[in-house]
Amino acid sequence: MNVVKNTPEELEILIEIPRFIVLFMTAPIALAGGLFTLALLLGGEFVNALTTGAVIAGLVFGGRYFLTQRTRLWLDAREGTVRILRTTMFEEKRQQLPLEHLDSASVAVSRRHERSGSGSSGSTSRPTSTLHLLFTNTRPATEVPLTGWAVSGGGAGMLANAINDWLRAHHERAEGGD
Amino acid sequence: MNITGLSPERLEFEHRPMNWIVGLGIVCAALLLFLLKALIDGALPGVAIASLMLLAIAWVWLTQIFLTVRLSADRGTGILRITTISLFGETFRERPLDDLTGAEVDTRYRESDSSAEPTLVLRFGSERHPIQLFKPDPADLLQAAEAIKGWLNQHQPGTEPAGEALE
Repeated sequence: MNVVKNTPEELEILIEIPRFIVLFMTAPIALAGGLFTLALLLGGEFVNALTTGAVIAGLVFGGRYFLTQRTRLWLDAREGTVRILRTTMFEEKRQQLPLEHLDSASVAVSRRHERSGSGSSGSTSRPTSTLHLLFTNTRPATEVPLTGWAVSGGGAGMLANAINDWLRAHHERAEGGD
Repeated sequence: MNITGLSPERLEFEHRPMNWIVGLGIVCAALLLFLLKALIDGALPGVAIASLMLLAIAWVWLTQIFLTVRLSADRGTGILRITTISLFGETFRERPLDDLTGAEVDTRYRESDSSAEPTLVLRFGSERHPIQLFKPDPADLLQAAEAIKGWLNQHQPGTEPAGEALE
């Protein structure tokens, strides 16, 4: 998650999970699953090896498909457009919307409760967040999530601040120009 | 929802929820493997459980998710057609294109869990016709509504001579 370009004319943002994190999440499953499948094969359990191998492959493939989804956002003051490029393993989708309809960016936070100890008192919450764009040309306003996944930490907040600061400066320049 | 055709004569969109197709496709494939393994092992309870789960998920996948919804407006034929293509065949609804006056995005909130459900609404005068799509991307809907409005506005100058000719 980072701001690629931030000038008065253009703001470019890239939202993706770093490759090494994707590797850390999928490689252990592939490695352990592969070894387990190999052990089954060596033990002569061909049907079990085939089933386990295929399920592990499906898990790794699914993980890679969802975790490598990438979104690139451009706010272009000269053309007056918001351009979104969403890239997955199978397709590349471009969306273009008028910049004048974009009101702001916001962060949606969800808390996932997970049990860290025994009993009901041992639960903690880990907030994860997604970045949304708010378009106000509809009633009610339409929220556009920029990613299908949520992350913990301050990355989404940092990007929302960057977008809102850029929009504020853009509107001030536009009002000053009038 | 992707714009698959945009010309002065024709406007076409397609909606295919790829994330859900891939996700549930992997679940179905895994269940199919478990079913085959249970069959080979001769484990009847495993066969029954895997079959039931596979049937339920595959039915939802095939009838609700693995669908392509295509919206096409053609000035040549004067018809607006909404086509739903599934493995079981193709169904479509048609309206005269002249009835279409605009499009907008409407967000409704589900009363069970308050989650937002953005919908593309076609306007036929005062009549509103929501297009039922599975988990659409709100940005796609906004873009589709803008494209429909822009395309219909292009049409406006062309309709004036026809009206004068009728008089």
